[in-house]
Amino acid sequence: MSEATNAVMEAIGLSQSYEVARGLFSKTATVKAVAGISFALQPRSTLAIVGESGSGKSTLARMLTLIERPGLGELRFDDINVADADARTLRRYRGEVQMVFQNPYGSLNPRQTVGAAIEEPLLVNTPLSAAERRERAQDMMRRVGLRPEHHGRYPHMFSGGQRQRIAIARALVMRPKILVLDEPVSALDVSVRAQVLNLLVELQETLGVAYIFISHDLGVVRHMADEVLVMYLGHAVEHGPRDAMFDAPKHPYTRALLSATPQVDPEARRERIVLQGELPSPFNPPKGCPFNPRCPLVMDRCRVEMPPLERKGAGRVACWAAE
Amino acid sequence: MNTSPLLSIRNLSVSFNTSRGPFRAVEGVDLDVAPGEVVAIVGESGSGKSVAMLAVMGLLPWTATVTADRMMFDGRDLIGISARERRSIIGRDLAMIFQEPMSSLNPCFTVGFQLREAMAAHLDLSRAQRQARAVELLELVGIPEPERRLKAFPHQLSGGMSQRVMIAMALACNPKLIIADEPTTALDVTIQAQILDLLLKLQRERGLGLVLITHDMGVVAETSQRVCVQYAGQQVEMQETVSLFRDPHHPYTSALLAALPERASGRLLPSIPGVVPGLADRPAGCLFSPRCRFATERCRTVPPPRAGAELGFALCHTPLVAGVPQVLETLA
Repeated sequence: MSEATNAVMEAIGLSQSYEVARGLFSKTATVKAVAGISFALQPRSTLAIVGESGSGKSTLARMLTLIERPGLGELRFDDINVADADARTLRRYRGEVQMVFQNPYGSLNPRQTVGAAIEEPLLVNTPLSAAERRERAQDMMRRVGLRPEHHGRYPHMFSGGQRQRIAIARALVMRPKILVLDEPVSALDVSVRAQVLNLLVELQETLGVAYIFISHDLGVVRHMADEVLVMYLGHAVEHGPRDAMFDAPKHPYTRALLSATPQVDPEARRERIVLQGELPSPFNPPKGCPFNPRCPLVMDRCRVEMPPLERKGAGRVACWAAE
Repeated sequence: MNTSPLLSIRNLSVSFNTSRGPFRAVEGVDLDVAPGEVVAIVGESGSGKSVAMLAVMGLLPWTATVTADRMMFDGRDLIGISARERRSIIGRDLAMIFQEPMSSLNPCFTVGFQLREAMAAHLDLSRAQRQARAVELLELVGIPEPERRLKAFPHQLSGGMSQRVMIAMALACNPKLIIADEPTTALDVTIQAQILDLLLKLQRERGLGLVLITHDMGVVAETSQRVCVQYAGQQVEMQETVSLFRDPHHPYTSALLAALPERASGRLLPSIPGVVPGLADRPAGCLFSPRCRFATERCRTVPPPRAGAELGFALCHTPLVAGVPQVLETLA
């Protein structure tokens, strides 16, 4: 890909499967959680990863943040493939990709002060002195809209929105190039959600960080993303620029997803494409295209052969029926 | 409203006895629901929307004190009602669907047992008739292979399936009104669309009243005819859905709608500063005044009056018309 030349991160065919025990007497089963995801992330841009539960988006996030090694495929930073790098190289790149988790009530240690939580990445990864660490932490707290006196307080003294600010400060204190945000606002109320989204927009502009924004909320995705990647049962089914994706979705799953999202305009009520059935079991995925049992456009070919992710129009689509 | 309301509530208040004194979770809520009507109650967490409806159902713990000027359901007074009489209404004429289907079903019993239990309590049916009705109900809510599913335990069902079972359970005794508390919040978007379509289809076919508690403005816009907006336990506005989205009268509703990314035009969203007041930091006047961009000195000291129907019953000193604050002359 030509656009990959100045990308901050490039994924090529990332895959992950897990062996799962299925009871005492049956054989273990293999679950393909993520199957061949490729993308290039540009600096200062936001790539949204959209999918329902079980689509493999969280597994993908774990691989991108090097929490676990990819089973197959390459993950490149600065032309170094970290998928098979040694521990020392990995350590260097871990500082460049940081993560913010979904639930700010569960992702902060209740027995650690906010200041200590934000300083901990510096303590582990840098040789900075205590005073320097404190200064960096205070600076980051100010940037995310926390007051200096919050430094010594405990997480239970903060609301959900403020806790998410703490989690963002902790992730950014290492000055990463990439921030992986796993459903960062889905646990927050509407009025607080807007505050946190605004903060993320501002931080991207001032710090130049690139975001991998994992979400199921298409309203939020449309607001935040430059590019969107739609996942279904571990596969990328569509990937393209935001406007193309929202204005002219090509994959029938993307269309159904857009149509299923409630519109905030009571005067624009329309017929929904309601998908039949649910996400198939990942233990026993359908043959051919993973979406074929629920697809309104299904053809014979879809039941035997997996469509490749091909460039069609502005983006890439994995569908035999899309033109 | 031309038909007499099924549920009629005036000035409902609920307070909880806490170790730090009484906490008013719900204050002065009015609500009418006619047969065949879908009313949404929308608010953020802590706005008291669930507590108000749990009070109607009589499902609050003993620490709660419920007061109301009127709380009538289908011609019967729910205020001074005995526990025995309440049980004869709840689950039969008045049913509720809860937020998390996975944790609302009892994991120790099969789906069929739990479905038949409600019928055994309220309907005069034989064992075989109850079984037949259970099969029929699961078919109605679109569960394939109902006979087999009745023998399943809740952990064997997906989230969407469990919510269908909850809906079947609510429908078991042919209720007149269903209160659905965030029925789709725990579900994926495509499953949410299926469940909302199912609920609305059943509601239309049977002419049920439906109260939909939600925090999702999209769900409100797509389903309801009328909306109540709650903030910090108070009902701040009530309007027809279409006009509420077109011209919100309370500054909170207006700010809430503006903060939705779907309605935003710029890169930054017009967010509401601050957070919902808690037990300790309740302001003296209007509860929204610390976060309101139109707040005046009077808003901070004097509790606001309720405006008329033409202004969406807004609880505000200066309700908005087309985004511009109006000064009410009718002040004592």
